[in-house]
Amino acid sequence: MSTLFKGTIVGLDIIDSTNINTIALVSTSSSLGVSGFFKKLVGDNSLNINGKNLEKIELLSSDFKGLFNVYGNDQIKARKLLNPTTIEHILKLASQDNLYALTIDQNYMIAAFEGDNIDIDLEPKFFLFKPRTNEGRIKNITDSVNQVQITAKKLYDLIK
Amino acid sequence: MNNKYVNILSFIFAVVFFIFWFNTGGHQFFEFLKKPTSEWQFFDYAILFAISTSIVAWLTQRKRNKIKDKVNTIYEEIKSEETIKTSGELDIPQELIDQVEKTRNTYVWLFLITTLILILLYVELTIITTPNSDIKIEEKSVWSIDLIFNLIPWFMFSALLASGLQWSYSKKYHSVYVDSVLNNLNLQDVKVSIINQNPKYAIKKYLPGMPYGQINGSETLVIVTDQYSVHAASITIDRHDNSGSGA
Repeated sequence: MSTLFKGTIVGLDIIDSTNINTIALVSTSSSLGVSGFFKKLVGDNSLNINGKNLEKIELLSSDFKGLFNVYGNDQIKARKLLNPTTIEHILKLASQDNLYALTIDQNYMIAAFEGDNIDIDLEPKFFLFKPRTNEGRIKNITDSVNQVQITAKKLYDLIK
Repeated sequence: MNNKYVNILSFIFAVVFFIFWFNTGGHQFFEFLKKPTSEWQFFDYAILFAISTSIVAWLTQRKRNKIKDKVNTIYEEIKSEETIKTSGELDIPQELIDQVEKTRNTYVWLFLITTLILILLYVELTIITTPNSDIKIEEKSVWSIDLIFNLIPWFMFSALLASGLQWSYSKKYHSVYVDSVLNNLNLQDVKVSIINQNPKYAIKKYLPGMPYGQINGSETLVIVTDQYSVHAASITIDRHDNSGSGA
């Protein structure tokens, strides 16, 4: 068994969002060996998210520096949503937090971050392992909360 | 009916059942202990397991109730603390947590040690003596590799059972622990909790570009503010080496 992805999923339900668009950023990375099969399955120019058919959005090739392919339900509105400021924020998320994939579906956002930058490890250790100390356990919990809050704020700022 | 009477009745039932069973042919069981390859091996195994498990369960249940009471008392004390702050000092008394961590493992070790004692008793019965008066003391069994093979499944099952019980036990109290910490976080207008929710459905629905494979997720951390609610979980996506890929 080999690990294809290790990271964190963060989903955000935004209250009072005015966004009515759906866009998806799919990593162009082929190092995991999935792109070929993925392309065969859904085609290069469209994909389906939450029952919605999304078309590939043609942006300037320099916009995402080849990191992501962008799909949306409306070419014009998607380009409007992905303004230079938003793209800059997304690139910052990619470089600093290892953003791997992002979908914005109206008032819902979900993002996958690769690696251990955000560590949500609340599970107890098995009895053969040495138990965590009180300080370590509480620090682990509070660190997880803080990391998730910071990341959520960054995502929230993308469309606010 | 309280635990005391349940324990007494269980013990009486076990003793009566043993006497009944022994007098209705059960004494032949000890022949099996001497010659484990007898024809009625499966039935013997069932009886062996039922008796040993009953004894172990009865002994550990008595201890477990005491442990549970102790842990509950400790966690009630932790819950009453209101001094944890994300930005300040964390003031849950270390002594309380030390007590919890010590008692957390007591149950499983008790179970395993009791099982080990019973196995030693089994070996003792098999090698040293037999209660069947027809067998002369000179005809003692000797240690053989067969005994090991007979003991392994029994011990493995007991170990798995003990591990499972301990796992659920620690998970239960772990959740109480995390809840108590989260409840005490002094965050203005923010509610934090944990839930058991696998993120794989959200991934399949919204993130089609993710690698295809078996998705394993941690507990989900939920944060609710007046602007948004967040669900976050650590995940790994694994693929069996002989399977294909795609998303």
